[in-house]
Amino acid sequence: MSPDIRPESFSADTLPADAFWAAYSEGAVAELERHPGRDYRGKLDTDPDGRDFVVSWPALVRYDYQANPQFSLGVHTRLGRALRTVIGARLMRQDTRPHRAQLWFVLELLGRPQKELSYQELREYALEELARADIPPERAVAALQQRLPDEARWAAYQNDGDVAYLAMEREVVLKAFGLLVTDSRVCRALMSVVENHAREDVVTVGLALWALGRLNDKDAIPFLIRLLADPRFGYHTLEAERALQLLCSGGRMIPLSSGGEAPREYWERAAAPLQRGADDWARVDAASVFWEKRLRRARAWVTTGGQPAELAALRDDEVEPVRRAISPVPILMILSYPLAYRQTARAHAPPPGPVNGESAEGSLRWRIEEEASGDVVLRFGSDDLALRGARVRVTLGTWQGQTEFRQAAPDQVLGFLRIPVADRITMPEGESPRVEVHPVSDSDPPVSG
Amino acid sequence: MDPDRAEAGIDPTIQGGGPEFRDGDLLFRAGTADDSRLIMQLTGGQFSHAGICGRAETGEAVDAYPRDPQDQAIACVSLVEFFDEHHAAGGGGVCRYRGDPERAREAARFAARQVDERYFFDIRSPILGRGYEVVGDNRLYCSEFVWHCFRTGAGVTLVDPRDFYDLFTAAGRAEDAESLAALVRERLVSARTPKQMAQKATAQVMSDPALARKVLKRELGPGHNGRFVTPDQLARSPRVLHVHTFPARSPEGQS
Repeated sequence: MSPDIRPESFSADTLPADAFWAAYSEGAVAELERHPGRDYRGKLDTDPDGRDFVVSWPALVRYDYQANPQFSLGVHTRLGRALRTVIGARLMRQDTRPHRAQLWFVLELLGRPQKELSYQELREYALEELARADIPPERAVAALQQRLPDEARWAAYQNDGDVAYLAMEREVVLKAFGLLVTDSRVCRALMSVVENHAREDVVTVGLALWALGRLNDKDAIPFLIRLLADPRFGYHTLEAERALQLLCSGGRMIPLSSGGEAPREYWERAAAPLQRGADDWARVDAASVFWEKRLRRARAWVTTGGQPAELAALRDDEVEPVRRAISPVPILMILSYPLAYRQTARAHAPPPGPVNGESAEGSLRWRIEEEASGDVVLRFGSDDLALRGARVRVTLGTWQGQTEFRQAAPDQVLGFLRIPVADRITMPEGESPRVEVHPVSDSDPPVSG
Repeated sequence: MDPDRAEAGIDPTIQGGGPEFRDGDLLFRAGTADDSRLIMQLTGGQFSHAGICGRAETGEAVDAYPRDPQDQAIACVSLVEFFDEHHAAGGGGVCRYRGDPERAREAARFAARQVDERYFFDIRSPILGRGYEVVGDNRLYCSEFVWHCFRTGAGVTLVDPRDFYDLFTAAGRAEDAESLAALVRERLVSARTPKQMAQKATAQVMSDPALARKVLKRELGPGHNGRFVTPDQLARSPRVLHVHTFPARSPEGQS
């Protein structure tokens, strides 16, 4: 059950971290300031007496972020990875017509053929194909543009409420767009959906607004403020304000408009002092009250590097996924593959086909291919650029092999390890290889070979 | 079944005779207890509770209801019980989706599957918006559940959820909105409160507008990011047909 965030459940000066994060994710925090190393201070929307609350820094650091699925969504450099996060979530496990349509849409974007499959098979097929290949954002953007509902589709929808007329299968991509690194093409695609609000289902527009906020492209700020003046957009005012709040807030959360002033005027006034260059925005986002923005910064600065003070602050961030994004922790996993080689067993059999897999938290992918000679090639890949230079160590019995992650693409690190058949013959049977990925520390010497 | 009544599409097992139910039929009833009357008063409607026909063949309804504390909110109940003189003392109604009947069947199947999922009854549940369903939510209330069955289970939007203030403060019902919040607070949200105490608290709050106002602000402040779907909104949707009315039966009852 959700933590109790009723005012009588906490004293004025302390709010437990679980109650705070419940209020945060429900949008029940009215005011909030983040004081790094010290505390969070704010007010809850649900407290009529407007009492101040404080959440202590140690309580925030100790909170079990892995147990809260809100913190598992992450920020992804690849659309395929973001789609896998959405498809892998609890809701998509249910066999429904809309979910099937969304999975087929993803497979269409991947260029995969239609197949007769049960829902479970279809979902696994989509997840496997996304692990194998990525979808360029521009392809998804073009597909969304083609499916933008027109007047005729809207009229058909009005008749019986069937959201298939409005191409609701786009929702899987809209959700994934919200989990992508900031990308102006994606931002424009989301704005097209919002702009078309008069011919869209309200869920789809709400979703696009949520994604616009999370994507954190500052070009969305004037767009959203302009829409607030449109009376036909009134239904979505609160969602647009939430997106603006996320986009604009630094270390102090900008409150929502409170009714005394029209939302457009309020946000024009709130956003006026925020005319900043990209570097200034980056610094503001790195210290934002919204952990989602700090996570974005951590992901971006892993690639490009940031100011030492800000990088240090992110390494000490109170939210574990932010800390991990900039200083990854070791990954341990067991590969379910029989590495030990026995000549007699393989005398007349062809080598087994390639096997793919990934670590439990999804940050590390692997592929094992066996050659006709009996040599095995292990390939490891990750979108997490913080793993650049990290050691990948494979152990089976007394045998040990090691490789290093090198950047192979702007958003990908790869490492590979060849295990000669001569080594495989010495390996114990019935045991699975263990893989350890150790992030680089300053004292590590480079891996040779 | 009596052949004459069967020909007329009437199910004699239901009190007063019911329609021949189909999977996915929308079910509505009006209770006569304080909280039921208050909900109807606030929504300007005639129903206090909604459910869905999960399996007509076996006479099963599925609904979300504030059951025992910590208990699963969604359960399968018989249609007979759903419309009995105790629960539907103020009458009831049955509506049917106008479009493709297969969609209604899909909504029914989705409803039945949710019985095994862990949900909690919470009228404050934001029908949309919490992470936009990427991770999902496990709180809901009766009419939200029916709406969700059609939208998520069958790809049909029966109605657009409406903002709380828009819905309950329309037609000058601001005072009522305050009372609803009190009800939410004391009776429905706080499933931990024993029923007898909750009823007493509801009556107390209903008689104290100042307290009600305070509770409203606390429970559903201006930053509340949820929207609502009420039983009557669903029953009045142009996308459903009204197929049967159960008359009110006795002045006493619960819903």
